[in-house]
Amino acid sequence: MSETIINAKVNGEPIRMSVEPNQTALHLIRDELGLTGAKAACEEGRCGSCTIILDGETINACLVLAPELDGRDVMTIEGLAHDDRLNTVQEAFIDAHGLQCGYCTPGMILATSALLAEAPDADEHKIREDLSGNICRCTGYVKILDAVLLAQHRLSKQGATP
Amino acid sequence: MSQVMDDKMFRVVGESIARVDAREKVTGKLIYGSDLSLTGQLVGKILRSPFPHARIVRIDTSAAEAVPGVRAVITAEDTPCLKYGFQSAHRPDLADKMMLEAEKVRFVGDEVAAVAADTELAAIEALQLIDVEYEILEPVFDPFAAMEPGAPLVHEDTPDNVIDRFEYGTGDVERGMAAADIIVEGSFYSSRVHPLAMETHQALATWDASGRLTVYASTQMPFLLRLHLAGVLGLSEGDIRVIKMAMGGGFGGRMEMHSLDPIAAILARKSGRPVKIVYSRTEEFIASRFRHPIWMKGRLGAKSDGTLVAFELDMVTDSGAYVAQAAGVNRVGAVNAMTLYRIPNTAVTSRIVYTNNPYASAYRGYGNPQANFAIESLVTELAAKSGIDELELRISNGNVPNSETYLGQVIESCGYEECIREGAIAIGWYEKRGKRLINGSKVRGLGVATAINVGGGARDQGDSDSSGAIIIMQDDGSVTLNTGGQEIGTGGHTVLAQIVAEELGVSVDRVHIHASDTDLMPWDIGSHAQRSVFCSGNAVFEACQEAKRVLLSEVSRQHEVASEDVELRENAVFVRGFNQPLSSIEEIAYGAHFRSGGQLIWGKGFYDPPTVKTDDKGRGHKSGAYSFAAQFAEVEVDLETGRVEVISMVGAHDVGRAINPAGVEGQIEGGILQGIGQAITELLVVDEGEVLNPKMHAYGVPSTADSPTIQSLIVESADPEGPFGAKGVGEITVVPTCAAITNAVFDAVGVRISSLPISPESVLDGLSSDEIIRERGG
Repeated sequence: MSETIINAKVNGEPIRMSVEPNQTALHLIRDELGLTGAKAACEEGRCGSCTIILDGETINACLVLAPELDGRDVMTIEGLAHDDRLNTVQEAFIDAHGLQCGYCTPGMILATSALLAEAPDADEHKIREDLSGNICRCTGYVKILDAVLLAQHRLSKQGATP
Repeated sequence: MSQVMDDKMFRVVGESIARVDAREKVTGKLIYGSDLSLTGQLVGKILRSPFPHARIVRIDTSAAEAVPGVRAVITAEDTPCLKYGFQSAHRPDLADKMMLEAEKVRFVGDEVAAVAADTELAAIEALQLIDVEYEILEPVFDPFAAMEPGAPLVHEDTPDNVIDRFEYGTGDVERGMAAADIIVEGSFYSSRVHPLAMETHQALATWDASGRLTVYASTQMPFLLRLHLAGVLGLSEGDIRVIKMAMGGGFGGRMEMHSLDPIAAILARKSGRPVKIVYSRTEEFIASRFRHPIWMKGRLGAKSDGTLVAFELDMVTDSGAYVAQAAGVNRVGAVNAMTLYRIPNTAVTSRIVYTNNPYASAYRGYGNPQANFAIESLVTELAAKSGIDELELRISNGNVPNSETYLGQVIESCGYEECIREGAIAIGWYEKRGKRLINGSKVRGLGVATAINVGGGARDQGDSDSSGAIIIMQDDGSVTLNTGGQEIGTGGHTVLAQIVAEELGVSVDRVHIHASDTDLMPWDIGSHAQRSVFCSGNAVFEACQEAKRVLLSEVSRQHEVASEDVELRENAVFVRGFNQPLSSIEEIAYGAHFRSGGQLIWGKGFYDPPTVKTDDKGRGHKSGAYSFAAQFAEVEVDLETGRVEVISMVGAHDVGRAINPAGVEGQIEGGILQGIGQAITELLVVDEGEVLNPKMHAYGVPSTADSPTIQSLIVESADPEGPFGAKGVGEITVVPTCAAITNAVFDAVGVRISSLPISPESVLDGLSSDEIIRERGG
């Protein structure tokens, strides 16, 4: 099988790698880059545990092939915090107890960050719709929604986006 | 072990502090079992039977072995060919599974062979080249057909396919029914639903040069995994080290050894390399365990004043191809149904049947959700038939503090009535009950269901229900807690850290917990039966007392102050009544052994609850404490489509004391949504032995878009045996949910749904029945 060389940016750092044509972005990120925050929980694009941000959009990394990353900008959960300072959404998930086992949490936080950046005034209905691509089995979503609302509130006070 | 219950204020206990591992989780840094890699590790994959029932005639692995990158191919011949079964320690007949089958395959997905290769691609290619010749055998899929004479035998040594049967009873149920003024009866069916933990099963096995096996496993019960691995590999427990990894959800699905665990070990031994096997999501649906489908027939008899006098239940369980934990599941269901109310005359008959379906096992609730569905449906029916208010009916027949059930469970704390009353207020029971028509085509209704469950462990697994803990204070005054108590995503470790912080006066962030290595940690049977806070917590509390005694003796020695005058808080030592600390705790700890005649500030605890194993009649005080709950559902039924939507739910749960209230609420909320899933959206569809929907998008797991408002209420009944009065909550939260929902449908439209999941067709059928039309004035 022929390999391709890709040049991309991952969490702000340039990478240059040889990738297989049938390798997913998810496995490239996890197995080759050691960024295991994105999870291979369903690998059919349903659960959102593999959520990454590709050129500013949230996507399921299990549905993108590694060669498609060439020339593009990738952010994973590991790229969210700066020098040990968690971002507002991460803090809100901790403070509002929006996590239990934590397996869906990276994807949920990235999806929330993207949602609040795009629609800072989202109401509960829109929040539920937009997060419906991120499955959690532990929480019943109650405290996840609390966390999103808390993040939303804190961001509006700061006049900031996540 | 009891602590005095009064209104003393605690510093940390009772606070909703953040999870101790929250930071690792929100940064994606936590390493779960499926994230771990070892140098040189190979990819392991399992070849599974495509047939539900077949004899293995011949396996030829030569082509597979020739694939470049393949390092080992194994079949049953490479294994000791020993059978295993989770409950086989006291029931050898329940050991019926081999890690790789040698003679027969018994379900679609049964394990036949396995490979380990450098790459996933090479492993997949090799699997495809393993040549298996099968002789197809006639399968049986229906448990009732399986019990008929002449049915195909799933296991030749079980001539009627009934692997387990029992009869439990109290009093005289015939006389009880004869004396009843009102009797209701019904047939009920509880469906196959999958725990669907977000992380699939995986195992990573490696051998060292001295022949010792290490398995990195996301398991709820590392010591039992070690025991069962030893059994099936023909090793001694001391030859095996289980390192328990963080897991993406357990829910009971990670209680038992699965074939992939010893298969990884054998592949690692044959190849000389570490081998990691990770299930795909499809494989997870096909080849891991799920809730037992159970067919139930129940009868409930009462006096005209509502006193329950007799209860009968028959349970037929489709275990699938192997028995796993079915024997325990039905017994737990039976005992809980018999003791939910104070009914003097009860009888439960149970048969567990082999079929060639995929096989079920432990999933949160463990038989209680199924049996509860039957009895709580019957109680609501009885209330309707007798005209007695169904809340009062439940309360007047329900359990009370400081009593004993007819099966000998000693109930000390009991907040059953409070759960019902507070939950009723929260859902708006009195305002909203009755058929409420909304915009002409939708009707809303309210339903209730209640539950009992073990709340402090259960002596079900090989007679052990104990927990050990070791506390060591480090030189800087931080504390290492070495415990067998497991964190499976529920927040158990946060609670243990709170206990240590409370007792030793250190801040929670200075408590470091190690609970992952069977070589190092003291015995703990593991996380199941709502025992982590109760049993592990009591062991930790005891270890803290011993460490505290040493610590206080050291304070006395360093500062010539009497122990009883000393307070521990804020990582420091205070003389009672003084605001300035006498010393930092660091100085005490350091000074304890950096001297001649030194001592180490440490302590150990071991807690075994004062309980017994359930006997063969279902009797016995089996748990350190019992949990109670009442759940209320508001549903909306669409009269045109038959579709049922859950609008909101309230879960009121008696937890003794909430050491971490947010943690308790999280368990209630998550459990309720799993119950809603079983009632409305989820189903593992099995037809002709095949899982037809082994895909997450086809399974029906609820998302934010289809989950309702869930309100959690904590009732605190202060248990005298639990640490700080706490009892467990992890399983009971999914127990009464389905009955609460179907009871709400009954309130809304008068239709009794007795089969899960609720299908629109069954609602429409019920609506079109003559009785309902008459009732609605049509």
